[in-house]
Amino acid sequence: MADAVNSEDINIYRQLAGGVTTSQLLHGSANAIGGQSALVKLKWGEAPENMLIKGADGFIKFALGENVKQANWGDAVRVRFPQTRMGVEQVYMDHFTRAREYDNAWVAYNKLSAKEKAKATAPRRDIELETLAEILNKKRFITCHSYVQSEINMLMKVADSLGFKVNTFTHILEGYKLADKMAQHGAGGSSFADWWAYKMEVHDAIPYNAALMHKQGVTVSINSDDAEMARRLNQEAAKAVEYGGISEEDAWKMVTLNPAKLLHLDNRLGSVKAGKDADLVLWNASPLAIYARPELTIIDGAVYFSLKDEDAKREAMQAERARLIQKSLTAKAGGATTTRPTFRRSRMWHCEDVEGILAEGEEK
Amino acid sequence: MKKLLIPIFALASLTSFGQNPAPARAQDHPIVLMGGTAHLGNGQVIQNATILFDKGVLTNVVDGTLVKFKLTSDTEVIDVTGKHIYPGLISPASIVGLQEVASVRATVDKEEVGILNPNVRALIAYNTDSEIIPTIRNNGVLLTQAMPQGGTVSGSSSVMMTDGWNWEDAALRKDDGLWLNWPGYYAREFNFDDFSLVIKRNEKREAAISALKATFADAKAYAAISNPLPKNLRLEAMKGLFTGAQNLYIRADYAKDIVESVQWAKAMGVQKVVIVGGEDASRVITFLKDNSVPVILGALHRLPNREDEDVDLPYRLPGMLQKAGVLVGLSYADEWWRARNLAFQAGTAAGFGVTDREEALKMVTANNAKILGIDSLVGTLEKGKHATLFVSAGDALDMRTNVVEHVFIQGRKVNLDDRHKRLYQMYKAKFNK
Repeated sequence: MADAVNSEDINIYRQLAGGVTTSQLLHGSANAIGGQSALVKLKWGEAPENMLIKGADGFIKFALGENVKQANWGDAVRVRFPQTRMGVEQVYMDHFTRAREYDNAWVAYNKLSAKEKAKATAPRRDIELETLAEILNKKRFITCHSYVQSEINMLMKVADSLGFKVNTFTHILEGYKLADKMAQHGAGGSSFADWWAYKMEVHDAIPYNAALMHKQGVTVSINSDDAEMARRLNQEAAKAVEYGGISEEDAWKMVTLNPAKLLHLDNRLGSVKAGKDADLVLWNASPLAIYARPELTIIDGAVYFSLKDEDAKREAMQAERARLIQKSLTAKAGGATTTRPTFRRSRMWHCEDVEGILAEGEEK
Repeated sequence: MKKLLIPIFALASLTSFGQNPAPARAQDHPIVLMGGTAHLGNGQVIQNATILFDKGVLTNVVDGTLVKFKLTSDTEVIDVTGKHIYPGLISPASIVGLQEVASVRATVDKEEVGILNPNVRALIAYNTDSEIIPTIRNNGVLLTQAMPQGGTVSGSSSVMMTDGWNWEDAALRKDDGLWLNWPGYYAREFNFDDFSLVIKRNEKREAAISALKATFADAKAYAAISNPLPKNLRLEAMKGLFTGAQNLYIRADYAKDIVESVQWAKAMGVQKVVIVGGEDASRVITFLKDNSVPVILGALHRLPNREDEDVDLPYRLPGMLQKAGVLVGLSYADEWWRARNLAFQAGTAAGFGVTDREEALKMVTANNAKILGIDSLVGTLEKGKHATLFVSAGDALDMRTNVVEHVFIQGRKVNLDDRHKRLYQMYKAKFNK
């Protein structure tokens, strides 16, 4: 993901206007093992590499469930392994077994003296297995798209058997059913606040999920998976107060300190404390109130959104728009050739998106 | 005593697992709510309200500090001191009851095939056993407009209560209006090369409008015949448009489409037109006001449509329209389970420019009732209207305090159980062992 960050996306500005300063960018959920994620501060308009958080731990997206087993993609896609949750476990076991062997081979090779190395053949480098070996060696951490308890349990058992931890389960709408097991394993839960009913694996999803996991000692954050919900995370967090009676302080932590913990950045982010990064939002009311809005959004001490300056910016933009239109009209009147305008809206990606094959019901 | 009650409640909820609670029994004795803050839905608030209802109808809504009256001995008194009372929220343009699990085709009954289906009726598919319904009811949505989608003329909607054994007794107003997907200037096309959405000129617009024109002209001529033979079911279903007995709900978002569709409908003799969606409504405010066209906005919790649009335009839209004098209702656009967040749409509107919270509340109560033609029955807490109301622990427009403690629909005391609460109780009990 770090290679594909577009720092000029207007949705970054919209997040800033919603009081969001940091995001974890994750791949889609079509594959059991996805790609490496990016941790960014939303420094809109700066060079992409300036958005990436330096020194942050590496994370990787995993996924479970209907997307991985291609359950909702129609009759054309019934041959790719896995088609069931049984198969998903074996995908992991297979890849991790190979990654362990790969890592062992390198460890053995690296132990050889220079003389021995000259006679031996180095293992063939494989960047996929190298990445998986990082997980085994606790140098890369899993953020896993998940819904149903059976497979969440499965991934924790796979991890236990190989000696690592699953860092975070996202969406995790049935996390409440095995919150005790998650707490014991040490996995965090990053939940949708109240989503359900869009497919079978969210049939038992309940808005009390965050509260139940929290009470079992799981580190809980609230996530979105698109630009719309992400810009009102404050409201999504407030739902933990409504459903399950979480205190306002604890609900607020679910979109500040807790996600910072799950991203291993709580030494720098997530609370207002001397020594931490100056990533601050000034709200006009308690941010958990539906009536609240940010007035200032600051990242690393610099203002990236200011409500006070919005009107002037909007007027300047309108003036610029009018100027360009007038210029076109003048050119047309002067006999310049014209073409019909086309309006291209860039695709809004979210975690459920699957491309390459039409998803069932999607119109061409 | 408290300790004893909790396990009994847990047990009761376990035994009924997997089923919605039974619909409520008809009100058989007067009930009075005392001491709460009543938000009437017409902009007024009564602190320390006394709200009396009998046989499903509000018989007294007064300030308890000023007005005292004698209660009959069979009156059930419910103390709601410190709580807030609201008229049942009305969720228009909804597919609640028409779709259960979006990815499971067998549970989706929201759109019929075909271009012109005025005779298709949404209430037929309204599934009173839907497990979605109790979850929206428990956030205060007590009425929902079951709406068909698809084609150009999708069919007719009906206003349904969120309680009932079957669609017949859940229906509050049958066939309140027809739904038209206006053939707009622009069509959206997905580009598979770069996965972008291209919005371009709709080449089929003129053909679609001329087909519509023929249908509406036929319908008007047909409506003038006293005993048509043979009967034409499609044209029969459109009769009410020309008398004002039915609304024409036009889905249009672009400014030009809004103006042209309204002008077109009026020219065709349609009496009552409602714009649904209206994402660009702020660009045609004067037109909407001059023509007295009400607007049912879609979800405010959306992104702006254009890169250079104000970041908060969707949130500010209701306030802009309201202050100009346009009648505005809020919906949760085409959604089903998310309708339970309808109150928070009003909250957002209040935070972003609507005059005050009571005015925002009107947008999900009185205004929607007026637009849907049910304002003589519901939408406000006023004497003579249905006792369709709920009590919340606090401000119902705010996520933190929308905790619904009592629901009455036509005076019937509704069980507040739902699938989510049952699973919550079940796992809470597991972990509390």
